[in-house]
Amino acid sequence: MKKLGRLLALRVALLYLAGAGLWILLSDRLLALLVADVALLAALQTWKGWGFVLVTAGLLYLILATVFAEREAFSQQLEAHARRQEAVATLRQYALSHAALATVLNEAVVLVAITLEVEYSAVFEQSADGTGLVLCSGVGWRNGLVGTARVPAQADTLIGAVLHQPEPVVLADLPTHAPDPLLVEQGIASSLAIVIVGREQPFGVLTAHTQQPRRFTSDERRFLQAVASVLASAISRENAEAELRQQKTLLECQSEASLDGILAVSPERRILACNQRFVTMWGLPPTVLATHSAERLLQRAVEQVAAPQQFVAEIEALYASPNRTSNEEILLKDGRIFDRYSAPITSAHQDYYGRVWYYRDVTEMRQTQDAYRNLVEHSLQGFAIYQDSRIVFANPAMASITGYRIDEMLALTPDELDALIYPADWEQAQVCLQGRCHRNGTPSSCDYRILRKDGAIRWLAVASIGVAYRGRPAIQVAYVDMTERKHAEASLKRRNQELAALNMVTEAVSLFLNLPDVLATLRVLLADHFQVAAGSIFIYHEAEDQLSLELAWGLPDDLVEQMRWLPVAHAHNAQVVREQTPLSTFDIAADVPGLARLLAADAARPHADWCCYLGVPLLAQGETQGVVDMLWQRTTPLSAEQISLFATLGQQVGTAIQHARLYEEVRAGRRQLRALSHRLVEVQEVERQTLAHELHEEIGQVLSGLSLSLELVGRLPADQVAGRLEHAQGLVNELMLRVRALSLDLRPPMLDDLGLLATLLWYFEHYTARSGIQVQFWHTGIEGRFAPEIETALYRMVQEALANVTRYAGVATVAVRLWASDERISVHVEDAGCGFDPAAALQSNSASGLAAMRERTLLLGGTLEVEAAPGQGCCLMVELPLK
Amino acid sequence: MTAEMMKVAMTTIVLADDHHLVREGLRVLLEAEPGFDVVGEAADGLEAIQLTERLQPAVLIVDLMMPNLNGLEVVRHVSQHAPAVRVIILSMHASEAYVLEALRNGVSAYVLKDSRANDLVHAVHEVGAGRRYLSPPLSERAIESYIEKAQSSSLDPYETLTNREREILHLAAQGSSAAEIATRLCLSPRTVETHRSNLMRKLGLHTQTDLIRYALRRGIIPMDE
Repeated sequence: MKKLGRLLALRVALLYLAGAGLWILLSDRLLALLVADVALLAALQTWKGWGFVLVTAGLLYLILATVFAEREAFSQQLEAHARRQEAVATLRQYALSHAALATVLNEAVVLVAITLEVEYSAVFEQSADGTGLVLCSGVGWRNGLVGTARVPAQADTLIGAVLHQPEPVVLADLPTHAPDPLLVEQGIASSLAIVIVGREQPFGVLTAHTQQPRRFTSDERRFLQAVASVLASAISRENAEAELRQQKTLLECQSEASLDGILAVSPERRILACNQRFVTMWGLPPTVLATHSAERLLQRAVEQVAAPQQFVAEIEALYASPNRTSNEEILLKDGRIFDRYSAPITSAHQDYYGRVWYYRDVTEMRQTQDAYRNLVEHSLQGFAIYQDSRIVFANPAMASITGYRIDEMLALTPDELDALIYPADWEQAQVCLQGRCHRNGTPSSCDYRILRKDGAIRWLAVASIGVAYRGRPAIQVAYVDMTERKHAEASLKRRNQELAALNMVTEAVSLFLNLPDVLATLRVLLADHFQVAAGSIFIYHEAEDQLSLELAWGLPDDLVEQMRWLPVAHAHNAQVVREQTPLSTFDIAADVPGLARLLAADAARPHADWCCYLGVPLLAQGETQGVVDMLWQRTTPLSAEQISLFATLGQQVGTAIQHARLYEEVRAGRRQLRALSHRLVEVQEVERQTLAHELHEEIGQVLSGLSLSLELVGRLPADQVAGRLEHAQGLVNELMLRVRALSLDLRPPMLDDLGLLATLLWYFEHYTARSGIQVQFWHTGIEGRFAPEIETALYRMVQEALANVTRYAGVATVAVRLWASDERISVHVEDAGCGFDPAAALQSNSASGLAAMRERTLLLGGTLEVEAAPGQGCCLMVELPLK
Repeated sequence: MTAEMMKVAMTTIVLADDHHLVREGLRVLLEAEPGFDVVGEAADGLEAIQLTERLQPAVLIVDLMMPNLNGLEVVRHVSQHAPAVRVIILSMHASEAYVLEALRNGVSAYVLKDSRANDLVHAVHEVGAGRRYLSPPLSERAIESYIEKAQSSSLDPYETLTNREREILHLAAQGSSAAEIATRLCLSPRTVETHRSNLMRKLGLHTQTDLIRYALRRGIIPMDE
């Protein structure tokens, strides 16, 4: 350029030199030709010189003006170019400063608008589906357009067309295109647009617009291109960063989500990466991690492991050989167990980047495994696993059930295994073990017997299920030894049957309330249901301490006769009565000699081979009600259970007997009560009869006499009146005596007025006077008064007793003893007369009034006893409580 | 003055009997006697007490048998609350027990209803003179003999034992156990035990040692053994 400029300047200068020289040469000659006048010529020569200078100056001016104008324009161009360069540089820098893409775009449009001095600038971003473009950043646009306005992406529109053009496009250059309504609306005359390149499709279009028609210089186009390229690179970096971020996040997530604690270490022993689980597992403080030093980390780890030296040695060995992988278990001091896996980190090109360590906490898993192992080893249930019809696993319990050692079991052939099953249960066992076919199906179970190694038979409850063992189908079988339970079941069953029988007995005997029925039912049950060959049922009478034989079966008649009434002291079953416990023997001669003697005495001796005896007491609330003797011709002694069954039966029946006896007592009591009321009515009638007789016969007669006497007084002469009146007075006195005696007999008022002692003294006097029998009376502590019912009762009973003495005893004296303490009052009336049988007297409810006396005594809560026997006199004893 | 003196000398009498006729008869009988003045009549025990306390007669004649409060109760009350009043009881009971009870309650005279009419008049005179009077055939001696008879006789506790109890006492004193006694007497051991505890109670004994000591003292078992 410079050279060209100089040559050009040199050429101009040479042209000027030649032109000016020629001018001077030629003009001078012409002038000299024309004008010869030297003066004139001289003058003309001067004018001509001035004219030349003038023309030269004009030319010089023109040249210089052009040169300067050009230089200025150039310099302006240069300046604009520099500004654009600067703008692009600013934008690039901005884009590199990690600003967000949107801000970069905004910055770009502002720069474009300022730099190109246009009214509008915009970035249209192509939508993801490629159908249109959105005005995403812009300057000069009406409010509301930026961010929303859309333009079509068809190639026949300006912006659409630009998308497919690599070069900036000027609207004027493409007149064939349809005017864009958005641009028309803004009144845009000129547009410069360029595509912004993206990754897979163009990102969009960068535009600049003016309302005045304008031509854009190539420099301006290049500027726009440069801006577009900055944006494209910003967009591409943004995309790349986003992708990187995404990948990083993904990796981190994977690493953090891992169950393992992961640590990556560079060959320089720097920590490349480590996940949170690793930090937690080893309890690493942030300070250690901050150092990025794997050595520091190792120090922390060494403090925690159970075998630090071995741990360090292993790690060093692994670092030393980069290609090795390893898998170990590490025990920590706190009991945790870590499973460690280590592998080198190498690229596809076998570049070594370091080593990665995976740690997994397997403590719980190991504990569970140990627990299961323990469970199986120490279980009382036998466990075995069958595979291919052989045992491949068995636990110790299985060994103790079968009697084989574990190694012996593992060696058993399929046939030998089949032979273990008790032959009768073989089919049942097979059905149960068919469950082996169904893996993960429901377990099948059954009971069967096996033959132990020692030949013993054991009952087993077996449950089997299909499982996988060492990767192949197998059957897992659990065995429970049921032998004891089966035995217990059998004995329970027997016991239940016995209880049912017992229940039946109880029910049967409870049906009856009278003794003969109860005993007959018992006999039938014993003889028929319990197959007791022979037996006898005795009832115990406590008062006499004797046993009465009520029922017997299977025994000879004469024997039964001998046992009809047995004093307990001499009874063969006295022990049963006294101790109230069953007596069982398998040797009658030795243990029940009394019975043996009785049996031996039997002339026919058909029962000599009876050897088994059981005597059971019939008990009710601890009192012996009776005894049952049972005899068998058994070959084995009775079992403890059988004896206890009969003992229980004895208690049930005893209660029934007690009830029957009580019922009998109640009935007898009722009978007695009826008799008593009957007698009461009778006595009352007799009393009324006597009273009526007394009133009519005795008193009535005297009254008649009195009436007659008084009637006579009126008719008699005066001298006889006094005598008659005296007679009448006598009658009245007699009447008074009779009435008083009558009243006293009925009930002496003295008993109320003066009490028991005075009344008895009066009565004895009266009694002796009437009967001639002397009363010997001893008394202590009865001077005071007692409750009226006590006084009345004692008075009446003494009266009755004395009346009996008069009636039956035939004696001249009778002794009465009466004494009282704070608690009780007692009276004895004793005579040495002919006596009587008190039981008979009480039973008969006879006129002796003994029964009535007993009733009176019982009413007052006292006791009455009669000691009497025919020919031995009689003593009546009454005792009444005073409280 | 004479009338006053007469009045002072008069024996004032209150009559108590639930039978109107009897009261009427007695009043006639008593008023016929100079110096006797029947000042009041009562038909039951309560009225008798009220009248006596109000009128303070010299003599109260009261029937033994009366409603509300019988004669003995009236006597007991009057002798406590009006000791100056002399009480004559009329009774149909010739029993010494009644007489004794009446005398113990503070009666001055016991007159039987069926005795002669002037027996009562006599009794009033006797009582007025400050003496005790009992209708015949009652007598102080008969009363004394009754008191003697009614006295508590010493009753030997051994006598109160029944024959069975005596047998058991003898056997027990000789050292037999209840079971042995039961076998011997053909009784149940429980019955023997009952008899034994009864006889111990009657004799006031508590232990087997007491029983043996008693048996020795009574000579049931010989001393030298």
